[in-house]
Amino acid sequence: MVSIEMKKENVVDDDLQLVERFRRGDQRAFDELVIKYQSPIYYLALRIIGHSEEAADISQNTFVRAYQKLHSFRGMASFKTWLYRIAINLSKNYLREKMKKERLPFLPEAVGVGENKVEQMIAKERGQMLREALSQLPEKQRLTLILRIYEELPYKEIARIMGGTTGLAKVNFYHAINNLRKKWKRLNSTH
Amino acid sequence: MLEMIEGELSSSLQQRLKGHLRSCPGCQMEHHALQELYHEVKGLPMPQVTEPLETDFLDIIRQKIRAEGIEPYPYFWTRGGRRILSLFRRPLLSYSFLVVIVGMVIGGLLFWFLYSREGRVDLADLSAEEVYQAWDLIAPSREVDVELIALLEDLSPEEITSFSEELEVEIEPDLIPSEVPILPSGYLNSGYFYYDLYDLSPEEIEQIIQQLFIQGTSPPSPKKKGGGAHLFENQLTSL
Repeated sequence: MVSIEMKKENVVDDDLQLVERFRRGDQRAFDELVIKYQSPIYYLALRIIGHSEEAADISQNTFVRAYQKLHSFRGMASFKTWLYRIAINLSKNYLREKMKKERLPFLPEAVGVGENKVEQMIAKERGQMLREALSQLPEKQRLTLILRIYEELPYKEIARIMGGTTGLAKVNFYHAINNLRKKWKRLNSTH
Repeated sequence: MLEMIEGELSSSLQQRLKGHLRSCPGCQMEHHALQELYHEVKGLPMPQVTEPLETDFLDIIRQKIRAEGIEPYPYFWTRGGRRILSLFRRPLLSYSFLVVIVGMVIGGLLFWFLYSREGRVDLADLSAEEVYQAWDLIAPSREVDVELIALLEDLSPEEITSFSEELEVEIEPDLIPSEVPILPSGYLNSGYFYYDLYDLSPEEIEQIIQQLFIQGTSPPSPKKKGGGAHLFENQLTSL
């Protein structure tokens, strides 16, 4: 437990050192930050948006924004939290714009290998249904759920990313799960 | 229940909840359904990626940054300025700063008014009478020696040497060459009053040499006739 905490602190320290180097004009420090976080940010955006091209675009824009705003990063939260917040905000903006124009179609999920065809189809069907249920959740609940379940972030960090208190993040997550259950039940009964 | 599924419940609470679940079929069903849903959501595969993350991800970011003409960070003064300005959003601090600034301005003006008169006085602006009066004020009880500082920019080192030899004066070696002090022999570092010949032309300097030569090089003093003092008086009136 202690070693895990020490590791986390080291990661934060490393990020802060990179940020400080970048502020002093070392461009390579920024490159290192991009290399370190490009995948997490991309997959976060992918989870939220569901489209690989748009997710790539948003993750790139996240780093462009970070490059522009890094001088205002005060280190109150970790760099990762700060970066996630940018990515979440850009994703939210993207979704809002997209929702105005059209309803997002669900992308087919990645297909498992070496499974029985019938099982694959059933799993695929269930996955699609679950995605649909997830997409129907209110935005805050859905994002909180993604950050909690897929990114495995503590509530404190989720609160920093989403804004609000730790308690509110917890409440959002419980509501997300409860709402998802209801929708999941409904979808199951209709199919 | 959700906390238990996430493994965030303390072991004692977990044991108590497990005990309850064993004895309560309703809660057991609820827990089972919740657990199933949680793991199903967690196990939901990532949306299909039509294109993998670009290998030139970093290059694309650089291109975007260049295309948008984004500066990595504002210049130092802008950053510093913003921080300083942000401090002045606090009224107490801004009022205190204002008081300090006003105080400094008033203090500066008072200082200038009171002490500016003690600055250097160009002897060329004074008459001989005024110099004597000033002399009495500065050192009424002392026989003060006069030292001459001649600015001899136009003279070569040989000429300066010849100059000092003719006058039998010493040249203080530590000063900058353009400001060679001409001191009567034996009076090096003894005087208080320097006569700056900065504005004199070479012809005037030549005139000084002649006069000094004629008058001799007796220890000069404004209270004595002859020597440097005589020159001093003459020069003041001639200027």
